[in-house]
Amino acid sequence: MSDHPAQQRAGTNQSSQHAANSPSVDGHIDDLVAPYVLGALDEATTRGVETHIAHCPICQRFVNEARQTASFLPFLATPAIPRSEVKTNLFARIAQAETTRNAPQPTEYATPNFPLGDPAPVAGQLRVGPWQSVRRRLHVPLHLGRVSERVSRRPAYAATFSAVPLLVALTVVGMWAMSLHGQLHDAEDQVQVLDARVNTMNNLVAENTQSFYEYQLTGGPAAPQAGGKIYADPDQPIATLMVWNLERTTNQPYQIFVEQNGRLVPVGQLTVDSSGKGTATIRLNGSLAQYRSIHIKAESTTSTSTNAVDLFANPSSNDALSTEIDARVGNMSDTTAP
Amino acid sequence: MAAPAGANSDLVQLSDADLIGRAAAGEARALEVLYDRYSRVVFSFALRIVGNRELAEELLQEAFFRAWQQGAAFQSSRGSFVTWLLSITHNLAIDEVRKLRRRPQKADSEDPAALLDSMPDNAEDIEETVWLGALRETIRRAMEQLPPPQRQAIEMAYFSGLTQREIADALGEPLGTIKTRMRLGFQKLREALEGSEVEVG
Repeated sequence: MSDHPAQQRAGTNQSSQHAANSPSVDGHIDDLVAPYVLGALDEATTRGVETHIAHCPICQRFVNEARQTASFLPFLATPAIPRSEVKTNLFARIAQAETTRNAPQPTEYATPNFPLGDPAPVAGQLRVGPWQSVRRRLHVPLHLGRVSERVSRRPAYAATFSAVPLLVALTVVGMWAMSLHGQLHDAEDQVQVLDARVNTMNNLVAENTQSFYEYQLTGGPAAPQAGGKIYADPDQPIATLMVWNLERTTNQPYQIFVEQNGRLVPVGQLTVDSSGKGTATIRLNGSLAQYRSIHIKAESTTSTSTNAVDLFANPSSNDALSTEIDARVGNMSDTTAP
Repeated sequence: MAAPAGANSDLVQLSDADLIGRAAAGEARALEVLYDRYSRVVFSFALRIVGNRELAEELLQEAFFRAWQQGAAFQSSRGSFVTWLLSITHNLAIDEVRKLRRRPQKADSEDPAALLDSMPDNAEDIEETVWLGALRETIRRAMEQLPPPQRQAIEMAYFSGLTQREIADALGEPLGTIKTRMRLGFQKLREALEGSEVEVG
């Protein structure tokens, strides 16, 4: 393939380095460019391509060109007209988001000593995944902490709002929602409360861009349809987990483990309601960043059929949800790429 | 709640890039102009992917809301606003369709007649229509130059969110065949579009 365009341009040294950093067999991602921009690669290969183009300007250019081509495709769709209500709702939502953003912060959030109560009852296992998933393109130099992708403007209280009160706030919201949860019997109400909780959480996250980690949770083999998020400050010993589309267990709650030093350590439980949603707050011995991963499993490690060592050896074999904590700075620098 | 016609007359002549810049700075009226320009494109696209009006409307709202939130992250040097907006839409819609695929569905067949039941909002659509019409014609003609299997591979990937392997399984074809079709089809598409004068955005 000596007349391969990339090889011609790259030259020998670059070409071998190119090969070393490429997800494809012969070192070029040319064959992957079209399916990549069309979204037709599986997740692992997609990540491989993104990793490669992050430091390969040659292939980055191929991808940019291919994106130009793909940018015409949406116009194949038959023209259709949305109702005017959508516009009304959109701008009402924007107005509300602006009001929330500009409102003074409640004073209890500013007090690190806010009583937390016992977070143990609902802790969940979530395997914390690569937090730089395909669409979560966040990175900030490590010493500044991580930034939620949702916010592009500096919040009014950024200078004074530290991560601890935020985690407290999330925990408070989590606790509040869980206590409400216990009181609601109507499934419909539960869904609404949980949705409201998600929105509150999302708004809180959106308003506080400082040192805050947001991880995507991926359904494992035991629950491929499930998803969730984990909000944590890696320097604080608390994490709040939210899951959805997780099947309810009938006998016992899901178990949360963190992986440390090759072992799975239980840190709490997750209860899921009839709509498949659940929230958990877990307390750790130290920051989240020290753990390699968090796992949610339907089985307990105290059951006779499994033990912590076996689970680690097959970490994804019976995971309901998982994600790996990546303490390195993500190498996604492009927040606008399709 | 929609503003009366002419309320944004000071903004309508601004470029997309200027408008999203203003929106990023908090000017909702600037986003409104962008919405008036592109809501139909976004909606049509979302509808094509998810096949359900209600869901498409939710996605339309979400796409613009995200554009509102992330406007500061848009860089015009990397491409047009429309491309950026449509890629946000594509990501949201494909996520949705993949989620739906994993769950058992309630019957919600789309009535084709319902697609045309709304009236245009205002006169400034006419200009947009001319540009959009040219764009649609361009891509339609370009796609027609592809052999049907190649066209199909591209459309299944882009509008259904299927991976190459999933397409191969769905069609009962070897994976290598699908990969080749996609690669050749895309190449052909690119060549067909190269001569066109229309640009997206």
